[in-house]
Amino acid sequence: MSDLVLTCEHLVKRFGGIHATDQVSLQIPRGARHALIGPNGAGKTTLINLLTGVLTPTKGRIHLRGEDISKLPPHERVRRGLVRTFQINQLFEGLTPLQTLAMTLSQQRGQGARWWQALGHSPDLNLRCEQLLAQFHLTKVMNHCTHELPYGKRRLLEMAIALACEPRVLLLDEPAAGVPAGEREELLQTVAALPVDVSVVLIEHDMDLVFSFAHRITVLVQGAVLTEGPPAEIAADPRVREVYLGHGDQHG
Amino acid sequence: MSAANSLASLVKLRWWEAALWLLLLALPWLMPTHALLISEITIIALFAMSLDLILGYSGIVSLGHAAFFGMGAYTAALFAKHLHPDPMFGLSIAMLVSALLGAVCSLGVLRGSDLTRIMVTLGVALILQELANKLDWLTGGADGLQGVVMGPVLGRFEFDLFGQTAAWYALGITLLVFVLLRRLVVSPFGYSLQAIRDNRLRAQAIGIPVHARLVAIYTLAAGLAGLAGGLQAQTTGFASLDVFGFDRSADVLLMLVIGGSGWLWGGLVGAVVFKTLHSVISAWTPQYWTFWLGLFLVLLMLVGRERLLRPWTWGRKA
Amino acid sequence: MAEWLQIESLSAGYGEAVILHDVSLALPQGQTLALLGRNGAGKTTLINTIAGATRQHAGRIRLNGVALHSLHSYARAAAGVAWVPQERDIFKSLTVLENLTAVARPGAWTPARVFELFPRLAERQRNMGHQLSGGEQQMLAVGRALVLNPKLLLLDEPLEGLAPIIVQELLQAIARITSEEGLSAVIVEQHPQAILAISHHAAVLDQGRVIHAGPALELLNQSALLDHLLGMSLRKD
Repeated sequence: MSDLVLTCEHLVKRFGGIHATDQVSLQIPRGARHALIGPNGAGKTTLINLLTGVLTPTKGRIHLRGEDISKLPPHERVRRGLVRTFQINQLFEGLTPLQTLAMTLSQQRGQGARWWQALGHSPDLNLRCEQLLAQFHLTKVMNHCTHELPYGKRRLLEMAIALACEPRVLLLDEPAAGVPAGEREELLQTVAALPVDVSVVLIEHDMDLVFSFAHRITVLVQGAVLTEGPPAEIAADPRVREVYLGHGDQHG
Repeated sequence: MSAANSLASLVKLRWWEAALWLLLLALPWLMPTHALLISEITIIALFAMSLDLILGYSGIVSLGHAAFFGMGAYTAALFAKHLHPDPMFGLSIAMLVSALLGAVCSLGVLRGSDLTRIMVTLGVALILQELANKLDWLTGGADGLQGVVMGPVLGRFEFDLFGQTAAWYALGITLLVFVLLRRLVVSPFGYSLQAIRDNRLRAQAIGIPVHARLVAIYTLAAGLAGLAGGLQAQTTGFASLDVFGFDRSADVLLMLVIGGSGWLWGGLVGAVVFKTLHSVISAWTPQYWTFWLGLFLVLLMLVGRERLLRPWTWGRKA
Repeated sequence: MAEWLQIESLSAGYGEAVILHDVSLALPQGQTLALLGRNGAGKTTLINTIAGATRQHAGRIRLNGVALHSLHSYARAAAGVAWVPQERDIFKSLTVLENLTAVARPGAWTPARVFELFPRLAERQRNMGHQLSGGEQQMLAVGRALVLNPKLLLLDEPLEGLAPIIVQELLQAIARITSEEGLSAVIVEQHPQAILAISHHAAVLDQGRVIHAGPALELLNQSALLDHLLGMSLRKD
C-alpha cells in the first residue's frame, strides 16, 4: 500500500466546449510539500474545486487515503481531513474571529450539532482557540466583527480557519496574496511547521516562496499538466520560462 | 480578555433579560383588563421568534411562515373539538404536525436563490389556505372553526372570561421556548446556522452539513410557529382561514424588521411595537392606520433602528 | 511650485476614525510614486482618499491644479483619476469586453490596446467577469483603469496574484506608460524591490504618517534602511 494521501486520475472538467481541467493526474504523498503553479486562468483553482467537491468532474476519480471520494459532498471530504483555503477570502462577516474559530473547532470535534451546549464550554477547545488566535496575530481583534477587520487580518483569519479544521491534507489557494513581504515568510513558516504527516498543496505566484517551500512542483497550463518535478528542474525548464516564469529578473 | 471569558460573556443571560421577563410575567396581574391584548402580543412574539430562527439566524427568507402557524391553529382546534380538550396535549400535537409539515417543506427551500424561496414559501401558505377553504366539512371553511372549548390548563387552571389564564398560559409557554432558544443560538449549532447564513460555501468547506442543518432548523421553526398557532386557537377558542393569510406572514416579517432580526428579542420588541402602534393609531384613525404604519417604516429605514432609539443623534450627520 | 499631484496636510479615515495624519506628498507629471509600509500603515487608505472613497477630515488634494478634495468620487474619475482597488471590483455580470467598453474614454488607450497588453484577456473577452480566474480579474481591473485614459493612476497592489511573466510585462508597461504618455501613477505594493525599480519617488508610511520620502532609486540601494523602515514595529500586533 503506497503512502499516497491524495490522488486524482485523469480528471476532466468541461464547461461547454472548454476543458477547464484536461486529464490531470496528481499524486500527493504523505507529508508532501507540493506546489501547483501556472499562468492565470490555467485552471488551478478549478482543480482545487474538483478535489474538494465544489465542482463535479466530467470524468476521472479522486482518492483520499485510499478511499474513493469522487462522489462525496464537500463537507464529508472536510471531515476526512481534506481542507482548503480560498484565494478570495471567504469569511463569516457577521461573526467575530473568536466565534468563527470556536465554531469551526466544535464542528471539527463532532460537537457541531450540539444545540444545548454553549460555545466555549470546553476548556481545551478554548485553549486551542487562543493558540490559533495568537499564532495568527488575531488576539487583539478576536472580538471584532469580521466585516470590520482590515484586509491583512482577514487573510490571516482565512488561514486560521483552515488550520482549525485540523487538516490531514491542506490545499492552499494563493495564501500569501495581499500579505506584506515581512509576514509572508512567517505565514509559510506556519505552514511548513505543520506536523510532518500533514500534506500541503500550495498554489502561489510568489516564486521565492514556492521554491523555498516546495519539494515538488506541478505546472498547469490551459487545464493540463505541462510538467512536474523538483524546483531546480522546473526553474530551468525552458517551456516553463516561456509560458510562466519569464526571462527577466524575477522579483519573486 | 481570554477566549473563554469572551465566549462566556456572549452566552450569559443579561440582567435586563431576566428583569424583562419578570415584568412580562407580572403583566397579566398588573394590567388585568388588557389580558387579551397581552395574550395576543405574546403569541405573535412567539411566532416572530420562530421566524427569526430561519430568517435572522439562518438567512432563509420566507413569505409564508403563516403556513405553519395556521397548521398549528387548525390542528389544535380540531384536536380539542374532536379528540381531547386538554390544552397541553393539543399543543404538543399541533407542534408535532407543524414540524412534520416543516420538514417536508424544508426540501423546497434548501436550494435556489432568495427569490425562489420567497415563491415557494408563499405558495405553500396559499395552498394550505385554499385547502382549509375547500375542506369546509372539517374546518368550517370561510366561516371558520367555532365552538372550541378548552379544558383547564394542567388540569387545574380554567380559562376565564377575562383572559388572565390564557395570558399566563401563553407567557409561560413562550418563556419556555425563549429559554430553549436562548441556549440554542449560542451553541455550536446556533453559530453554524449563522455561518451558513453568512457564507454557505465556507460553511461547507469547514465540514458543516448545510442541508441537514437547514432541514433541522426549518423543522424546528415550523414546529414553534405551529405552537404559536395552537396557542392562538386555544386562547381564542376559534380558528379561521386568516391564520394562513399572507397578511399574517407579512406582518410577522415586518415585526422582525422593526425589532431587528438575528437577536432573539427582536421578535418580542417588534411584536410589542407593532401591536402598540396598531392599538394606538387604530383608536385614533382606524381607516388610515396602514398609512401611519407605512410612514413609520419609511422613517425606520431612513434613520436606522439604532438611531431611532436615540433621538439626540438625529441631528448628527451619518 | 505646484506639482501634477499635490497632497497637503491630509487627514482622513473611515467614519469617525482618523487613519491618515497630516500627510503631504507631491508628484510631478509622468512619474511614479511607490507607496510602501507595513500592513495597516495607511497605504490603502491614502489611495482610497485620493479616489474619494473615505472621509476626509482635513487637507487638500490637487491634480493639475484641480481641487479634488471637494469633488465626489465620480467627479474625480471624470477629472482623470483611475483607481484600481485591492479587491479588484470588476463588473462580474458583464463580459470582459463590456467591462472595458462600459467605461472607456477617448484617448490612446482602447480595449484593443489593453488586449495587446494582456493577450489572456483577449482570449476571454466574451467571458463574464465572474468566470475569470483571480489573476485574470486583476488584469481586467488594471485594463479597465487604463481605458479611462486617466491623468493619474492609483494602483493598490496591482501585481498581486499575477504570474511572474505577467508581472514583468505589467511593470514594463507601467514604466512605459508613465514616461511616454505623461501619466502619473501612485502604486502600493508589498514587494518593494520590484516597484522601486520602476518608480521615481518613494514614500513610506507608518501609522498614517509619512516617515520617509525621497527618490526611489536611493531607497532601493539602501536595503538596510528599507528593511528598517518597513520592519518598524513589525511585532506590534
